[in-house]
Amino acid sequence: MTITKVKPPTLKSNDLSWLPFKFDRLQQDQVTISNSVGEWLILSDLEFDQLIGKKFSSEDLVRKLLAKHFIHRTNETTALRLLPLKLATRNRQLGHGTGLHIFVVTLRCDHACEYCQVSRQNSRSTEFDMSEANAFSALSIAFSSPNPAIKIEFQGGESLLNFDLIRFIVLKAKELNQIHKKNLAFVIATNLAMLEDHMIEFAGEHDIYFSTSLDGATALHNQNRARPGRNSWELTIDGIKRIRTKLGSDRVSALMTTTAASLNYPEQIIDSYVEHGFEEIFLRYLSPYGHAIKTGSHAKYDNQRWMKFYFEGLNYIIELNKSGVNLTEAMASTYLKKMLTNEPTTFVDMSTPTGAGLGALVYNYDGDVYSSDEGRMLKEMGDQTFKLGSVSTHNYRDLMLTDVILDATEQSFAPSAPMCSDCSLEPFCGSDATVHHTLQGDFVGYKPESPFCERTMTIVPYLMKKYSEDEFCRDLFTRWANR
Amino acid sequence: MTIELTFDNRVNSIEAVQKALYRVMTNADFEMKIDGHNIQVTISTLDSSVEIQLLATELKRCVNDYSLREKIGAETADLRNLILATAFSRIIEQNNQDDEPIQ
Amino acid sequence: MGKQMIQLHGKTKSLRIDKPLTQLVWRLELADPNAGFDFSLFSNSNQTMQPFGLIRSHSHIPDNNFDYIQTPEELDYLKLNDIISLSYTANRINVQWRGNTSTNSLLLTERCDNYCLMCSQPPREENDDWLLQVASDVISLMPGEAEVLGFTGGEPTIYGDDFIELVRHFSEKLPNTALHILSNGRKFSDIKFAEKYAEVANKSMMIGIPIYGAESQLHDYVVQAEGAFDQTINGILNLGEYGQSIEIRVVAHKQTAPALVQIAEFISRNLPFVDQVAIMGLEMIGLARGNFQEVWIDPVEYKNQLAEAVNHLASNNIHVMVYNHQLCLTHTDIWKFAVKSISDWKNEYDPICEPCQVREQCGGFFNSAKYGASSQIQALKVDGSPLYNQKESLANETKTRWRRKSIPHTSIS
Repeated sequence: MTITKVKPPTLKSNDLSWLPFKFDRLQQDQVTISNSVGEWLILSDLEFDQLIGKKFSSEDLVRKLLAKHFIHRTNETTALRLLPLKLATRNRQLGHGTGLHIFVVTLRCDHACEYCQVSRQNSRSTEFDMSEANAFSALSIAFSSPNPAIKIEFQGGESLLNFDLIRFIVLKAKELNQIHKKNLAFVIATNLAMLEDHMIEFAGEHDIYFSTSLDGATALHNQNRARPGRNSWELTIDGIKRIRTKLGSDRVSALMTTTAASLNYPEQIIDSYVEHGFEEIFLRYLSPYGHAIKTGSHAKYDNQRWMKFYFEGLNYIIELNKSGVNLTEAMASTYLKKMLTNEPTTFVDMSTPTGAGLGALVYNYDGDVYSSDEGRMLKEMGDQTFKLGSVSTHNYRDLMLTDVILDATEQSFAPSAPMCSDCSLEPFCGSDATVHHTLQGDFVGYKPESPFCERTMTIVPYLMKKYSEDEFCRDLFTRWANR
Repeated sequence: MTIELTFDNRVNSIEAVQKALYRVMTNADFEMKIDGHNIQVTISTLDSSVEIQLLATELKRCVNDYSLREKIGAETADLRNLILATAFSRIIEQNNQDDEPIQ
Repeated sequence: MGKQMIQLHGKTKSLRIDKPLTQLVWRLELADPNAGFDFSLFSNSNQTMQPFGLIRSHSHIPDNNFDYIQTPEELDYLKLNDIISLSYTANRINVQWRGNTSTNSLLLTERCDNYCLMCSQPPREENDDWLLQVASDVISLMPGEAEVLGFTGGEPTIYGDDFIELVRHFSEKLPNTALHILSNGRKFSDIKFAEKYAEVANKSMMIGIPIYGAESQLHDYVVQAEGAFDQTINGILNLGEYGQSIEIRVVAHKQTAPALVQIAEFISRNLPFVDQVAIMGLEMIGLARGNFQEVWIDPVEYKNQLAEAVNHLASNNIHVMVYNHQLCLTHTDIWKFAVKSISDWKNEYDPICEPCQVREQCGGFFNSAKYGASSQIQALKVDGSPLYNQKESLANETKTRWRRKSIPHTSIS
């Protein structure tokens, strides 16, 4: 058999046609393109012109556009098979129903945090505790959700102040789950100041995780989070150590809250997380709710200042990773999951359709049900928009079919919202009806003035650029995306 | 400061102009008038820090981009519908395969 | 996968047979001591009970009238329960199954509808479907405790329903044996064919399908067949719909190396359900030698791309393995993915490798390395750093076994 001499491949480009895509000119001489399954490319103006004119002179360009499903050959069928498959994977939780169920077991709290988004009550009166009856009704609602996985999160006030009810709910939930057989998870959100050994033991027996607040190093944390004795930080760290010792280091996670005071210290805050053995930090933005607005915390800085803080922090974290420290930034990781995988996010604030109701339900101590934590806080500020009903009068179906959920879901839906529907970054963003209602008075919001929009439009292009240009970041971001 | 721009609705649709105005005009006022084929847009601002000439250029660019988006959308509409329909019927099929929810 | 240094075929040294064979496939069994054979040869349908034996090259030929074949020296290693096939005239022996190795493969055909630039088994057009019967007979004679068997070609699925039948026959006869099939996957783009394959319902069967590009422009060029990529991907998707075990294979060479990362991204976004991905080094045999200009590249030149592609897949929770890449040519952070896959290491190596501290871990070389080998082979310390400095390395160059200086330096553009 003779071997025929092989000719180099010629670029065949007269049979190429567009697949659906969006574009934006986000930087000089650069056009970002994306499609509904989250594939994206940064093209030069010249490359974009070739794509628009469908006159291709660059084989590399044709190959990368084919590989990511921006164009296809007219006689090939795999792109039209793969796109729906990937889209289905990205949206597979549609129809699952509410997965996160937050139980506000008490409003009592020992802390007086500057930015508190809850109307906390002092530690003694029990009239602000959830009753067992309400807890049980709430559990019935939670288990009516069709979601095969239910996460029950205990909040407050300070949730450990009503540990008896936590115990009651966990045991009742497990009992109910023998029938429902859902994937059941429990988290206690707590400042850990009241953590007793029997609580750790109970958590060990029932696979309960802890989520606590850590705002940074001692001075900053205690400044933000006042309590009698001024020892919030010490108690938190002690609680973390005790949980880790008895249950393992992955059983407690920490969330920070950003205040005006935090903005000057991104590196120090990050250092304190590393020092205390955390592998993840969420460089959070401050939500404009509750005591935050009353005390003027929200007015103290704007989105621009926060962005500066964020990027200083993110870049510092990347450098730390380069020197061998294992630390993930959670906001970036959320975006990266959308950019680099087809896995849906579990973060309700960055979900499309909006996470209000469909993603989370909040059962307040008094039995009232809200579509989100923020919805509950708005009620404290006098705005009852997101109060859906009560555990004693509404079942799951009733709650999901309230006007506010239906309207908020439909109107905030980014793929059909003004500006969002054309935006190339929409697949990486979310539809937060609650925050736009709060800031601008309607579920959609005018995106050019939305800090939510600005965050995505600043952070995502930055992540794309780092991913495209920096080999270390490519590897790091791929790992962050798959957490 | 005021600038007038005219778009031809045979080149740029009214919707494209509206979308561009929505996106770009955060720091200035505008008025839109339809006169036959012409879409007349008047941009005005009292704020001297707003570079109105740059804004007008940006608006024109943005209008053209939205017209381009219309073209891409029109040419890929059938594929988009097919992809969506196939994806969603698959999601429904897979949800039905999961356990039945208990009411 | 890797070529054995051991010979798998040869001409009989001498033989005596009554008439042309009707059975081609034989298993070596214990010989009757009176027969004078080293082994008795057994076949499933040998009704005549005529004694037929195997004698080794240096054994005495018995002076009875029994039929026998005598192995050439290179096949004297055959032992009890090994399985061979003979030509009708018994003057050619092919070794089909050896009991002491895990790399037994049955060649089902040399025909193929692809024509890969680097094909190690260059396709032939002649009908060779008698190989299917040979395979079926080998399966019938194999021991039940065999761990794994491979089906290779050419393109095994060229037989259509007969291929499915063979798979079914295997699954029935050898329920405790794993089956690894190599195929270009194109025939599975016919959903009915994929369905029939799935109906065999063998949980220990895996199909290894190569992808040489993230899109058709590159892949179709490498396999020299238009439309191949589209069919292959459709085939993989169909097999995936039916829950079949799939391995994706990627051969790294001059054409595919620049696209390794793009291919890894494509697999993780579009084919995340596959069981594993194997990235393989180039064997300079078959069509690869004739297409030297198109395919040869010094592996050290795509070191970075290989590491990035492997890490990308691993970070996306896809099981990835690297075959046939010497450790001195790869980044240490992917050593944990390297499979020691070329056997008979002791027989084929470069003297430069003798003092290497990671020699035992390393896959070693194909014996075809004499047709193309890296200019950067070097001995390493345990941590992956060079054992010798540059001056010492240059002095060692003269010890090298292969004509490395005559191989042009290539680079990824």
